[in-house]
Amino acid sequence: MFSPSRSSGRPALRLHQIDEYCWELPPTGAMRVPGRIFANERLIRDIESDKSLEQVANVACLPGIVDASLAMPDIHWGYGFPIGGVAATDPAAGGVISPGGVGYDINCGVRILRTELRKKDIEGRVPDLMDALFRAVPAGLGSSNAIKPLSVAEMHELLVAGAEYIVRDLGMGDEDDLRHTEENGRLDGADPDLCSDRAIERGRRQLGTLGSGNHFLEIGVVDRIFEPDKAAALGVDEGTVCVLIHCGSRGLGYQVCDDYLSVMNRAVIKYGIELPDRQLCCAPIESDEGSAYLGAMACAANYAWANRQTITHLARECFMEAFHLGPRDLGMRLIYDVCHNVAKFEEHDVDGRPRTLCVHRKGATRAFPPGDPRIPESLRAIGQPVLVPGDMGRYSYVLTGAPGALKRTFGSTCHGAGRVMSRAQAKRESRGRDLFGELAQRGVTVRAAGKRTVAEEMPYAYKDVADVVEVMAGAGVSDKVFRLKPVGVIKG
Amino acid sequence: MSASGHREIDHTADLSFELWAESLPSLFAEAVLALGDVCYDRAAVRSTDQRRLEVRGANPEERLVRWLQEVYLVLESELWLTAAATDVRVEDEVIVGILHGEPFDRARHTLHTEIKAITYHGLEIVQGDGWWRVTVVVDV
Repeated sequence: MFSPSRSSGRPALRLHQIDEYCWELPPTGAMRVPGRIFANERLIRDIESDKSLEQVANVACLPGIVDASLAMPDIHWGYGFPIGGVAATDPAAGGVISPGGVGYDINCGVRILRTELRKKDIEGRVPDLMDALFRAVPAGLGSSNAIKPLSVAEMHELLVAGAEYIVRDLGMGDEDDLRHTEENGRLDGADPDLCSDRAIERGRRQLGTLGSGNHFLEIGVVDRIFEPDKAAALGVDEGTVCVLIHCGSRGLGYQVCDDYLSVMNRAVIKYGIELPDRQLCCAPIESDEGSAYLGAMACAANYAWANRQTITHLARECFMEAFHLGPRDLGMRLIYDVCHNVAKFEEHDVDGRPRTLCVHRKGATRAFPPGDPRIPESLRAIGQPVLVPGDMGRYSYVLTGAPGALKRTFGSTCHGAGRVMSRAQAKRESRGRDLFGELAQRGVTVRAAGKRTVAEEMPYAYKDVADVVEVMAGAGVSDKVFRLKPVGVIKG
Repeated sequence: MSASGHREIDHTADLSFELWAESLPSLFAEAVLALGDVCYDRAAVRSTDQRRLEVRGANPEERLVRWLQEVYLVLESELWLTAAATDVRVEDEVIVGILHGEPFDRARHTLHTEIKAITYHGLEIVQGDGWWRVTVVVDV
């Protein structure tokens, strides 16, 4: 049941600043809770200029939403939910699950690996290394067959076991990789029978591939340390060579989302849920439709972790061959792997009382603070690492969760820079320019399956990620630990 | 403005194209061209092979989304590039048509971008006096 008038008829949204880094949209119309946006003076003006505030208000209308509809500073317009949005719903209070609150690319995420290599070790060798990585990790439209395609039976095992399947059954990686992956690379409740045949078929050949859009594989060098003790605990100092991998669940995840949007459109009518925008289509968590989506979503999340684990293995092989090093000397260890498009059940204190909530993070990253029992023991003293990629010409950040995250954002922080320019505009801007040459001038070697993607993803198309992470640090949600400068990037 | 056509329009995070045609079948044929232009250099694709496509949907918008989903899946799964669609017919809840194209050839073809989804965002097929129009947002 959609009531567009509830949206268009809503009084003009008025932002009310509550502190230096947070603005509130008081509830109006069908909003059940306020909207709360983390930003600074400049970012909030950008945010006001697109329709994402309207989307923050729309999400606040969802049944069972708790506390507030939240937006991180890298918020931009998305389908139904804004990208950069966080919404926690309470299953015990009729709370809903919405595929639009997760996104098409289920468990799109980032991982970062550190190495024993120093900046000087790779000088003059980056182009050859990027060529080797570009051959090993298929990227772009139709990319497939990085490894032998899986049978349907193998796919079923993988969809339940996630990254564990890649490590234990395929021998690609080690137990330490699993310990340093959010949820150990395996979300419970995955049921492959809830995925369509088409979803599984699309996944069979795409394991170990990047895809395109904003996905990438990047070699970066640590160029600034903000917290030396934490950086040391993560195994890096200035000059350490790292590898970042950003991708998700590929065609399998997109198919799961498509399949369940149809299911949810029917569920909205069946359960009489009134929504201001049909893209927020959802079902009660405690309904057949809600639990079916969650079972299929967990499969796609597991596929994404398996995908990033496979790419990790392929990248390690390239590095070992290029530098004639064994695994011990290369020391290419996973620092952490985070998802930024997922819904998960987590316990949070609400008004002094613990409640199990379904936390939707769409373009937002979990950021648990030091001491939290849900992060691996080896990282517990410093807090959960959070990886925030910037654009491919500037820098990316590694943060850790801070105590404010549990108080203000259901343990969530930002996920990236956020676009400021449309893809069409970025392409126009790029006409007649030597983009690869410009990036080379900045010291970045780029290999790309599609030149047009490079034009769309040029640094000027994005906000400065430094502004975004600064807001979250100022709000007490996450702390900056170190910054990386890219030296080599593979784009799809 | 010609009888049928398409153009990319600005959209912050994703891609969007506007289509217009003189009939609903022509609009569906035009949509195939627009999707091709997003994903590869369509001008270089020859119409050497054919395949029949049939989709079902409860309303015109759902049929358009499913039609484009099928065209895209042929591209993703088989790297078969569509140059054009002809003989498009609308029969109750079914759209039938013939795709013309060929398998990807690295020497001649340039691929652009993968897409995640054909979305329902703001999707509304509008009909006027002798014209049909729609804007499609594609998640990339």
